[in-house]
Amino acid sequence: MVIQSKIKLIEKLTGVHSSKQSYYVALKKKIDELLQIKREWEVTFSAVTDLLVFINRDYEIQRVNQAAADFFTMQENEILGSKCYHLFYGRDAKCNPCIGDQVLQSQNTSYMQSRTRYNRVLDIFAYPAFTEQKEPYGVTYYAKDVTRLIDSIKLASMGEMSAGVAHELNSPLTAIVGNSQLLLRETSPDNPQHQLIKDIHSSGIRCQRIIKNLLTFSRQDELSFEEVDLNEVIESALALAAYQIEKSKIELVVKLTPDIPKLSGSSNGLEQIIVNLLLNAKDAVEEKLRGDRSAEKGTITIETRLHPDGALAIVNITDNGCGIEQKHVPQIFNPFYTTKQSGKGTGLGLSVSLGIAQVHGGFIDLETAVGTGSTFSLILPLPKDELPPGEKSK
Amino acid sequence: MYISKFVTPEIIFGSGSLNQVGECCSRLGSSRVFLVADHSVVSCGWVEKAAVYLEQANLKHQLWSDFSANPRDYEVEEGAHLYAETGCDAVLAVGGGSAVDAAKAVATLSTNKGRIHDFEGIDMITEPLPPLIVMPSTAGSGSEVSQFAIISDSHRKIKMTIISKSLVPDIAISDPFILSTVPGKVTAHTGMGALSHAIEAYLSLAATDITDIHALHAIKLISANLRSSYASQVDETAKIAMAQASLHAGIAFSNAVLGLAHAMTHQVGGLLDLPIGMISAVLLPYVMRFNLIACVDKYARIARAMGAQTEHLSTRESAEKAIEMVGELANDVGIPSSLAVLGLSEESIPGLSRNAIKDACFITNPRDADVDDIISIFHSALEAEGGDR
Repeated sequence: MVIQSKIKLIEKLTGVHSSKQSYYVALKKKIDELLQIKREWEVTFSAVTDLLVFINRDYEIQRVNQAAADFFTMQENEILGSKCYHLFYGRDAKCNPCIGDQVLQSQNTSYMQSRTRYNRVLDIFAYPAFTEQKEPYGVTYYAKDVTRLIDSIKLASMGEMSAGVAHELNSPLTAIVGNSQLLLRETSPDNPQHQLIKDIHSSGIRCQRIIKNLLTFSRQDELSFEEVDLNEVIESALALAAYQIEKSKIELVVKLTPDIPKLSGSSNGLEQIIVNLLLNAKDAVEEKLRGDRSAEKGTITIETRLHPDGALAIVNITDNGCGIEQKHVPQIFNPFYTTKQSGKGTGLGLSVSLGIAQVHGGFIDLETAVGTGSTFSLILPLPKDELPPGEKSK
Repeated sequence: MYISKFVTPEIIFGSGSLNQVGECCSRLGSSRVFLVADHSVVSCGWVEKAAVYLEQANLKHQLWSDFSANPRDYEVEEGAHLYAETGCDAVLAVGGGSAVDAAKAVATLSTNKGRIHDFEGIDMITEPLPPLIVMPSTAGSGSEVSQFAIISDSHRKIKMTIISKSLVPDIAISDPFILSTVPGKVTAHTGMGALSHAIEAYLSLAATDITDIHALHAIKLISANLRSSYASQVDETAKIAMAQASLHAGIAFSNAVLGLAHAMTHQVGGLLDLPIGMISAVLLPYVMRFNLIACVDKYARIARAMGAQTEHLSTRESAEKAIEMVGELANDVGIPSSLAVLGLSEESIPGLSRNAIKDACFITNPRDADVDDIISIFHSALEAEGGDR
């Protein structure tokens, strides 16, 4: 026993069971720690919904977050190594002036707003990155997509302007439409001038429609609210639109859920949304039939539903028309954006509809597939403490 | 039989090998070197020379000399602070045993959290040290190759022994040329220190064939060259031999550890601020006498390594001869023969003895001993008159 413990003591003393602490082990531990930190930052960056892009001094992209990759509809590995001016603007040469250069020279944060690829407006903040020796070696871009904000600011001012212009145009248009109507009556259809006058008349009508839309758009917040029965609104919208739909030999299916609680809203505004969505559906079906005569019979379905939890009312308008290409989807609610043939759409219908829906605290959702059709859903909140319909009369 | 292990650093040896310091530091990945040098090395101009070689290797450096001959806890903690503050990434020691010990302590604190006291004992260091390059300026401490560092605890007034494989330097550079500026007295203390390292390592319970070769060769070189090296600062042959001897003794004791003489030396050193080499030289003959019966054969071989003519002597007579020759050598280079001369008082002996038995060096002593044995050895060393060892 004495010998054993003595031997153990001596082995410990001479370090038989120990070695010089290895840098490799320490390094590995450090690397693991750093990788963990890296992972945490990556998760953080990918959670950020604004764009983050890091470039080196040669304008080459070294890092991007998921939001940036999504924004440019590219994969991260396609972006890495490409030049920032190419990614943001599709350019083949450095921008002039270059915000990256400014930041590297001044070593201060810089900001600009610029219109980038896909016609998007970005607020871009650029931050210099320094080495341990305080040398700037790259730039971090933090960019926010403010397109919608910018457009809405533009629209607000445009709304005011258009209200004025529309007013000014209304009287001359009344003269044009009224007088051409008179002339039409007095001109025999055989008269070669008949078609010319007819064109003047229909163009005038179209101008009036545009102006009406513009006025609605600029007066969105002036809608008068009342208790509205959604099914009644749909009935009156159908009264306006059904004729045009059936005239185009499109089947119209109506499935209204009874007992949808009344909600507070503008029946005129909501009716306008429904008519708009129905006519869009009609156009989509016609568009598809134009391209493919052998296509199945056009159908438009309008239904009302209550969301299972009872807090939302939903109007679905489904067509089996041409559908909308995915690249257009983010923009179809933008004012003056239209995928219809020129002359057919004003580009205001959906943006006006969305505006009205938003005033009601609701929104418009969309599911679409090219060649298969689209479903537009108007989703409206119901009053929170709404009593069941039967209780109401008490 | 127990399992053994043998560890040495890279060793660069040769007159003028000082010029290797820059390359060595750079090779180990350093960009800013923490240069630990004692005042005598600085005043002899060696640090200036080393600085030139560091610059040639494009290395920056931070000089640090603020430590005592027996480096203290708070001094090395300040050194570690400076190391971190100046962003150094390697430690280069140029100097005697104290500079090397201080450098090892700074290196330890630079990567291991805590106070230097936390690392006292065996294998307490858990994190790897920065690159450690050691260039001894004296021939004796052996710490350029050893896994030991000794730091004074200023509060408890004892010497703490830190033992770890991590304290073995990465590179030891031994340049005998540097020894030419060492005063005779220091040559004697360090040389006798090296001899006591070699003898105790040779007699150690942890000695192995490999350590024995180094220990015996060191004993042979020291007994043949210490006198001439002590006698003249310019005896180049003697300086080269002593530098070699220091390495061999260092390698031997770092791997085989020491014995009772050092267990006792550390206690006296904690009490009296005196060169460790001198204290161990005074104590060595008395401890050798006590240990003699444990390993008579080995003593006889020590005598032969020291050049004794032993053909006509019995083994026991040869063994006695070894003790006698150690005493003679110490005497020749001016080492006092008694602890009383060093200023040790009788009252302190029981306390010192109780601590000595707890010293790590005691573990490998060839003869068992209890506190009373140690007290009587202390007494014989204290009461001795000149020559009566």
